[in-house]
Amino acid sequence: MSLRAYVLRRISYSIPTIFLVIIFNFVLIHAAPGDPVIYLYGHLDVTGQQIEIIREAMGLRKPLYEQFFIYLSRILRGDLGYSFYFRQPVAELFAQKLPATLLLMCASLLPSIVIGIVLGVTASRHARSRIDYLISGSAMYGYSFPVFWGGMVAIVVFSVWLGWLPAMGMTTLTVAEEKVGLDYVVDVLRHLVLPATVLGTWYLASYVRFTRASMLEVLEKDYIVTARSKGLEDRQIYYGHALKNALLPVLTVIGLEIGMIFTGAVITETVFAWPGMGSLLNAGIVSRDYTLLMGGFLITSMCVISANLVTDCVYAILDPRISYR
Amino acid sequence: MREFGKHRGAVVGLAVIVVMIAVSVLSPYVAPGNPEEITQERLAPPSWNHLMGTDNVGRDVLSRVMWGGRISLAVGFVAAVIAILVGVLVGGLAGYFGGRFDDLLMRFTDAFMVIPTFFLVLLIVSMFGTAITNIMIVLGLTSWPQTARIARAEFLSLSKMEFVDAARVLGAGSARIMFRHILPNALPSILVALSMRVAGAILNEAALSFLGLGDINVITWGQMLHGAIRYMTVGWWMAIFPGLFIFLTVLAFNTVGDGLTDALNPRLRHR
Repeated sequence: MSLRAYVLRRISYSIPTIFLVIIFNFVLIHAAPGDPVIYLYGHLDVTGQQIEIIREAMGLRKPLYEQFFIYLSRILRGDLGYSFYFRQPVAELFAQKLPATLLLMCASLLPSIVIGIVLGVTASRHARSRIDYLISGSAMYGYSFPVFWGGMVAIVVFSVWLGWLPAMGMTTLTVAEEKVGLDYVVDVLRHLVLPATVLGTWYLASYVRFTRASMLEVLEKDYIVTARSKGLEDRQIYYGHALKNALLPVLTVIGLEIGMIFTGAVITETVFAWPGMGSLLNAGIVSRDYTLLMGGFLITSMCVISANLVTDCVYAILDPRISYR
Repeated sequence: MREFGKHRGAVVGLAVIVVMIAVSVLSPYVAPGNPEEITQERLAPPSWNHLMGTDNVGRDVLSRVMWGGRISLAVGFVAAVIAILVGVLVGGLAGYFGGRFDDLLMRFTDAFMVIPTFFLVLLIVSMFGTAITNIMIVLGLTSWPQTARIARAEFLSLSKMEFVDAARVLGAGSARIMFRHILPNALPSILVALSMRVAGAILNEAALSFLGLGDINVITWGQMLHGAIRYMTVGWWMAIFPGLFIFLTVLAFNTVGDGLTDALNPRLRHR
């Protein structure tokens, strides 16, 4: 199978997943106790007559399958509904907040991938030694703490006690003139340090674990023995031969965990009042704005599905064995 | 089991779990005070009277942590058991029967594994109510795919073993082979999955509570942290101790899971 055919087939695989998400949303709004109208508009003071009008407009009188197609076509057109809490279309709201979330995600993800892989390789190089126990042990700790609790502790220690870094938000709110240029960048970076470190620690831990396990598996292979008997240097064996092959499963895991990464980012945002999707969803939870929450589920799902698609395609390019299988 | 014993971390982890369960179950007898009793002693720092201090309405944090363990651990176990039951059923059927049926079930499992379930949980819990039983069920029903994958692999390889052929020759039906012959052999891997699921469910309940989607009628560690957000600067003990208990419990379940994996995997052991 050619690479192109593989990519096309892989895209066709993600269609059922997208459907599953849309079906979940549709079923939920109809299966929830009470009337969908009450769910979506109930917190506003609507009269009986208005409810009838909304019901007509939403097509709630039509048969269920027809309603599903209406819903589907709306979503495919990018219409995720209207948030009554923010009085704005949901898609627009998320488009405004996504950059801040992506900034936080990248700032925590990229360093943790690099450091995680280096530490994982180091641990596998000295497997079952003191260094290994130190690295894998710490990774286990980093993997087990609740992200938001780590954030709370970090705020207390670094912002409240030591006063080194700002605890909340993405920029300093001042009455004086707004910061511009380099000052602005520095200000955002200072606000980024704590949330990105807390979130990154957690990813770092899981990448260390996966890299180490994957390396140990590869180091058993015959070609490593060959490389050793050829008298290659350790560095070349570990980074040149073994890591090249051990990285592929790690890549898959990173792709598969994009969902967890989003979850972590959203929770971290809530702790640090970072103005991204997390804060948006939090407002949706407090005000029980279901259109907003459904939009959040849909959008994160789409991001995760596409991220998966991309990692799988990168995987196929890096490892020709995959597409020729 | 002997291999498990060699894994020092896992033994400590198991001990921590046993202590946690014991303290939670016995909390009515061992807790120093009433977890719900409101006193005038608000936000008192840790002292001999209140080892973990008091919260914003003067309740003893230590007593609340002990009582909170009951619900938090219960959420962990119930959700994990639900996830295991569904996962083993789906994965077991797929692995045992194989073919088209396997393809279909696994495609569904993969699709489910990809979607960010936490957001689905958020949505469901906010719509169907935040009662603790709801939370347990929803967390359980959304975390089975990983277990299904593990169960499928086990059932697939075990169903090709000779003892399964022998049972079939002796006239055992599919159900009997699956439950009496394959399942007991797959149990160790399922136990690993259980341990990891308990840890995951405890973390997820805490995250839900933290976002304000916890059951306000019960005490859980997550619920305590939710209450502590606004008092972090004046009463760090309100946030430190419940979080520390979540951390220790999750760490314990994860190390036990790791220890079991090592003990089950002889190839990785002799290195």
